[in-house]
Amino acid sequence: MKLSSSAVAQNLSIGIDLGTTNCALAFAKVEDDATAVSLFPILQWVHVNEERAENLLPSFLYLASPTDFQANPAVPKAVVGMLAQVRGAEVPGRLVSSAKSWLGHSGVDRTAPILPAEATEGVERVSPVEASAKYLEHMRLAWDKAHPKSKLAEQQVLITVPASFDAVARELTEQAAAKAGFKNVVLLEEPQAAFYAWIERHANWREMVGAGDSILVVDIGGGTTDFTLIAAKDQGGELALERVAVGDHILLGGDNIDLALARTLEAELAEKKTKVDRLQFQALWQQARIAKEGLLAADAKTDKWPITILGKGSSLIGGTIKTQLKRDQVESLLLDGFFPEVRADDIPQRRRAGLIETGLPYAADAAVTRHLAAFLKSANAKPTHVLFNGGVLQSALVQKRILDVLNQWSDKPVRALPGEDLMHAVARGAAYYGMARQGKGVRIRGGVPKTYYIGIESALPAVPGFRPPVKALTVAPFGMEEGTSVSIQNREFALMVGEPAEFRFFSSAVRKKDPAGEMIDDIGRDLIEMSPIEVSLPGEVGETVRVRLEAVVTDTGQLQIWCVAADGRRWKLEFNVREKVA
Amino acid sequence: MLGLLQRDSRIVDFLMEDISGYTDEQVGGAMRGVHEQCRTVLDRYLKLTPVIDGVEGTYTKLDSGVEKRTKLIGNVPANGKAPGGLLRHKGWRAEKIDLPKTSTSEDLTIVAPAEIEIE
Repeated sequence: MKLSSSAVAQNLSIGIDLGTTNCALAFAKVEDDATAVSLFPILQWVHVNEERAENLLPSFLYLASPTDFQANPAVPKAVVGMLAQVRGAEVPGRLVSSAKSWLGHSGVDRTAPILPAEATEGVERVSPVEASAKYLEHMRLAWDKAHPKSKLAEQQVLITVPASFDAVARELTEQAAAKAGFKNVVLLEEPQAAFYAWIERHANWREMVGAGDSILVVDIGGGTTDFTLIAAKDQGGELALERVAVGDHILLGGDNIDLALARTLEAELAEKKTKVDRLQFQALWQQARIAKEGLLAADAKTDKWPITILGKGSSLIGGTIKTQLKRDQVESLLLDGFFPEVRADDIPQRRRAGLIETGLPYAADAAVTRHLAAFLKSANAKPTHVLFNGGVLQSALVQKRILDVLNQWSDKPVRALPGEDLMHAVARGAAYYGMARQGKGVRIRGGVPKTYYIGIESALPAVPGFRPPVKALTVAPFGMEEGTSVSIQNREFALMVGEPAEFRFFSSAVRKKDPAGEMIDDIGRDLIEMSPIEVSLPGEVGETVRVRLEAVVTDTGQLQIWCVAADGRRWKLEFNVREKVA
Repeated sequence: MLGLLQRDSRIVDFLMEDISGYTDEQVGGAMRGVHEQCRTVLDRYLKLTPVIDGVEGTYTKLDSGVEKRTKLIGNVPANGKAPGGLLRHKGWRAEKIDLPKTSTSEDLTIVAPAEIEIE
């Protein structure tokens, strides 16, 4: 991607929340010197013969068969949104879902056609990048249809990604945007976007947080949980905000809670000798979600929520399955299962090694609070405020539990910042940030959220059966800011021209103090290996070039690593996302 | 309209089913969901408002222009006209009709297609 700093001031800024289960689009424009943010309802197919504009675009892609949607030739063969979700529940072998989780999964080749993971034989699969591009393209076309005079490709677009996305997943997101016809794209971390949304809503926010405060953003969406810590600092009399830590990528969210409730109901029904088939289970899952939201609503009047799954076939009452979900069931599952009271030094369970994973690396420990404890411990931080975001945290019960736990861990009181409209805050905040980039608003300083390393094999005599130990050279330190570069002076590499050279690549969200050029002798648990990076120097075969490494963070926040020769020639290292065959 | 009601609420399945063998509780339980979904369909595709927004059982004047939308009952004068009377039923009127477009290739006699699951 080219370095595209928006030289021309634009009158619009567009924020896109590219979510695991739902997407949203908001736009900001300057009106009377103030930034006004609005949500854009996205036109989408909701049934075969019906298009409707909805605030959320479900992140589902349905790959239609030749006989699908014959009633209406206007429906595209690769359809996105509500119709995809509805039809996909009936024909799961053609439904692509959770593409974003796959995009962040380094165990697979993310540019290869692998989705749907459990596709019916003969269905032409798509890659996680292509699926994400489809959602973005759908939003671009919907926008252009409504705004033919200010097309989306001509606007500055902010796309949000989980703070825990590594450099590879971020680059793949940019690739998806380019494929979808986007031109001027900047990525923004979701918890930061949620914080911007809060700033946008509270003109008096400087009265609520002050220098020395640290704000924990807890973002629990449909599929992922994300933690970020933002510090408020005094900078020459002005209040400056700096993102100081981000958590690991945790695949755990609202969908897990609904699924757990549906499983509970299924087990209860099984005891009563009622069997639920696949389609009925889908209905049960939906009903569990509705019941959960109903029971947890602030104005809930009942302790029991009836669950009715209408009979199969044309007989509606005969064969109807009736049961109910009780408030204490939901509360105990949430409070004991997903948000238990834990100690500040509790550690989440790790998955036992030795298992072969074919699907997504879901979190082994469902306890969000335990992940939170581990995050705060590794960040060595005691937050003073907490901001909630994401659908799950619409529940006052869950908010209260997290706040209680934080207060137990801290000797000073932790206060919750009032958030609103938790389903759309990320898109709104992203649109607001677009304006902040043009100088109209507050910016959070951040830089790269991890430290990045290149693996170097120790120069030892070869011994059969032993791989030489690998050391890690720090190339991009934590917090390296947008628009800066560092060059590693103390080490040169000799690269052969005309053949690809591959580097092993590591990241760490925990080690924050390693300066560029620092060598780590012992790669422990703190360093996580990522996809390798590759460079191929064009030229005459047989020549070797001595190069130094240079890390660049572009204006859009994208990390790039370059090889620089003494004569000034430069080659970019490309992320090689192809699956490594062991 | 019937197709929409069946698609979203399965009302046709309910009406066509022989319900004589079920208890009131069974029928009521199933009906609650059907009712809610029928209501959603009506709200979405037709905006239903009363023809006369008054209190039923009270005297209501008949303004000119509403004759065509009202029906006189009881002791109706010989000329078939009256200045007003007791409002017995407010009536319903679709303020907007916003039905999805149907394409020419669609067979409109099909209220709901048959479903076959391939195992």
